[in-house]
Amino acid sequence: MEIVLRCIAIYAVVWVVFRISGKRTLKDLTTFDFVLLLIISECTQQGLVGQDYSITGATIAVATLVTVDILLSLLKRRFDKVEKVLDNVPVLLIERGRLHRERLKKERVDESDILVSARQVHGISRIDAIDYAILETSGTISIIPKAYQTERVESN
Amino acid sequence: MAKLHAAQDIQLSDDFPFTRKSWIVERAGWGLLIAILVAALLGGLGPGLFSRRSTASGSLAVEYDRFGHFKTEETITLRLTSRPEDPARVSFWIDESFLDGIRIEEIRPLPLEVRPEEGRTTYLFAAPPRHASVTIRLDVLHETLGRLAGRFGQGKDSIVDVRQFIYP
Repeated sequence: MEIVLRCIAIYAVVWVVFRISGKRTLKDLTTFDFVLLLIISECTQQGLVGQDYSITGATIAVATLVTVDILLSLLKRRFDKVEKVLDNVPVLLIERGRLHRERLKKERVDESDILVSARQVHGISRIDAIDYAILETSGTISIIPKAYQTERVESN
Repeated sequence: MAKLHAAQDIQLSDDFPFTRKSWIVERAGWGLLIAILVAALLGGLGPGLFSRRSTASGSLAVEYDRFGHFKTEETITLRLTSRPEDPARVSFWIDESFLDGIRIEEIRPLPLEVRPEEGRTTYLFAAPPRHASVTIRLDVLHETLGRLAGRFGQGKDSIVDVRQFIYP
């Protein structure tokens, strides 16, 4: 029973920490971010199973974490509000070519981050060639170039 | 699945009022993380700068951390003065209410004798020659959560109240 409670508590703590750290915290993993993730997992390991080094203890811990994850995914499907709270919502950073500077600042994103995504996916090198830039819940930035929007409107 | 709605001419499940609230919660969360760090450094969440507490009564002094962690070891230090009626030996006792919440991992130095008595356990040690006081270290593991209170004593007149809070 103790392991189940420990796992639920650690799941909640990790979720809260990553939720309040924002969408961009562990996006584009650098080597240091990767090492940081390993350190965090090491820190939580003792909290999950305590002094129990048995296979049964590890099985209970894994089963609890996966079950909590499945239950939350079911809740997210059923209730929009839960999905918003747990996963956050995408944010429009550029809307019809207009840059929302306040949103960039709040989400700790700058123009160069948008340009990186624009270059990588669409080969765009200028902000004014972007129609929409969306900060997704995963922390990635989706780019919709102006040309694409024009083509789409024309094809309709 | 969040409902999609048209934001201008693209379909997106965004919700700017919710995003604004998220930003506020995020900033409050950053404040909470900093508060946790400061509290941890100062000793409000376990051993830290100001967590050590020392209380004394008569010939007995006990030093311990105000806040402990569940299933984590902590050292409680006792300083005892031998009594004139028995200068070769020193002893102290711990009451059952405190012993119920801990597991004693090690006593340094080892006691000559451990004597269970009604409602408490007494530990007897040899006092070093020409020294009137000894230092005893108890390595204990906390086995209860929340408030842990008990008494340490030497004889009938030197009694120290020990109060700790054990975090999960």
